[in-house]
Amino acid sequence: MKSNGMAGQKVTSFLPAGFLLVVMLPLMILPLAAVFIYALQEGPKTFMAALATRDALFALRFSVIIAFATAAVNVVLGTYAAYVLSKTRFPGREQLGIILNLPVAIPNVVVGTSLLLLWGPIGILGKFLEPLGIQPMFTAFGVLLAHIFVTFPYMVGAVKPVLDDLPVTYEEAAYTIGASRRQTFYHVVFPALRGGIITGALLTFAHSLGEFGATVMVSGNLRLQTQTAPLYIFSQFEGGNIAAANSVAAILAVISFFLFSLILYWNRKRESKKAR
Amino acid sequence: MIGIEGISKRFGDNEVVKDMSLTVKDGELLVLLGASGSGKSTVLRMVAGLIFPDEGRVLLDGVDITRSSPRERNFGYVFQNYSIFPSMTVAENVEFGLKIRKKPPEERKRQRQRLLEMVGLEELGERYASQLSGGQLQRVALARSLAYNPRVLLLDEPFGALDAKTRIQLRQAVRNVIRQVNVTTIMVTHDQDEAFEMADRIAILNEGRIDQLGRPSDIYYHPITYFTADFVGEINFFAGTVTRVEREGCEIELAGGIRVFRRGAYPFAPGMPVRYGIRPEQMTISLLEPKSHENGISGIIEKNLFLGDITRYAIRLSDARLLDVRILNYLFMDGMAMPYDLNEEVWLIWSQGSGIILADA
Repeated sequence: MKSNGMAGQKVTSFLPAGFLLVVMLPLMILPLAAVFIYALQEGPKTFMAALATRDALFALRFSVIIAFATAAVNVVLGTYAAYVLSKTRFPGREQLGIILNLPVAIPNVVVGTSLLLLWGPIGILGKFLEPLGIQPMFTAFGVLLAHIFVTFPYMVGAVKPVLDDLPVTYEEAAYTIGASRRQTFYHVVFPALRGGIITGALLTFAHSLGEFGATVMVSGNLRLQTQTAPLYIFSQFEGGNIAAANSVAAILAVISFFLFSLILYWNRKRESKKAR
Repeated sequence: MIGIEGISKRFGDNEVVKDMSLTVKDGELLVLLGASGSGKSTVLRMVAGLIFPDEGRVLLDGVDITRSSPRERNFGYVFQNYSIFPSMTVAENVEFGLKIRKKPPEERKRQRQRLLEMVGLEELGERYASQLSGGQLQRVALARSLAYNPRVLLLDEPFGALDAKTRIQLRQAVRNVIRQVNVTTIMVTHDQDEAFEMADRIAILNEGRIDQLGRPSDIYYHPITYFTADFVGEINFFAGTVTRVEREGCEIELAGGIRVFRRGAYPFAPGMPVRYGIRPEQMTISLLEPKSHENGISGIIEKNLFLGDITRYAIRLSDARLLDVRILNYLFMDGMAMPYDLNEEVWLIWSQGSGIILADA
């Protein structure tokens, strides 16, 4: 990083960056390093053995599948919500937008609690479903529901600005040419949204992967049924199985790091494309 | 034949279009000319079906289409911002209307090529919007809206986003394409030169109403309202009183005592207050007094501005008024660009066949 020295000459200085690193070291860098150090301190063989247990593999697989499913559902729901909020006019539109963004403001644990209070065995709706043998909570479906709830604003937040920026004249042009609303969305609006949808999907996936607060409430933390990777890490650590916890933690960290790098790279590519 | 009948439109408290009626003949290019806020774009959007009027009707060959959607109308619409779909190539943009109408690929290709050639872009079919200039984008927009043989073509300030040079180049190109295709066209603009160059007829819009509708020369030489006379071109207006009315013409006494004569039949009576206008290019400067068949007024040259093909003068009259005069630099005499000097006393001469008279409301 260059700065002008006292005499006005350019001087390469690492001071500002160096100071930042010193501050961030205990906060972020060292703890992350600790995970990998612990995971590998007994050697790669022990690491693989800890990872290869039924529970660990299930947890990782389950988390990834749930993340994919959450992203898939949100692509459809979130895009639709963004379209309605951006392109249609109705009384209460602003209020609806605020409501749909609430999950970001509410602690995830409270989201989990609210779902239990609605759908759980003694929940407002749940108590009618229980005698019918339908119980969405403490199942994979319940986990999916919680993840969708919690990550929904990220999809809307990624897609809606793109829609807002798309001049209404593009759609008007399509209508005057003779396209229906559906054809206009498919041929004109949706292609322009691709970038936003991919960003939203990546964000949703990443947040679902790391979701803990709501999941710990609605899943019941049932081994080999509803235990996601974060839940596995927590349970193993609590149970004193540091190596087991760390192996999955390390994998999760690597996947998340990779995902967010992808999001960053993707967004930078979109920005440079826009600037042309 | 496309027309609007008693159209009104309000946005909140603002009455943007007030009881407007007009008919466009088949094959003609009609221009709605007006300043920002005159309601011209709103009228066009109501003709297209993008918005609906509060009152009145839109008629196509006698059929009421006021409430039909843009899809049903089969019109072409060119936007000021081109609105070329960024995810499609130029070729795909142009044939979009045909694709929607489920035309077979060979027909789509044929039409697309024909139109791209017409607008001079036959080499650029595979390009994307981000690779084209503004002028090229507007040509694509035109080709796209003509590809499906629209019943009416609507142009919404099509050259507004372009630089001056491109604007002028594109005007004639677009006019030629429209003539070739022979489609009834309504264009909206605030640019007078554009309106005059392209229109068969012009409607002057003033605060949501049509002040005058006619051919460019009619609008220019026979404005019927003060607004139109002042809005189109430049004009010097005098207050005056009719002194004499004859079969061949009428005489008017201008404030300051000068009398002018105007040939023609006028429905005036002596004593009527009128406004008499003469355009800057209709006058000539002379050191000699006006002859009996000419009108004239004397003054002192206060400003002269050499503009290449013309020179503009500001002449101070005896009653302290300032007149604008434009003289074509026809003769470049003795190395002098401007034949008349500042503070020189001169006569302004003009024909008794020129002059715009408006009854003073």
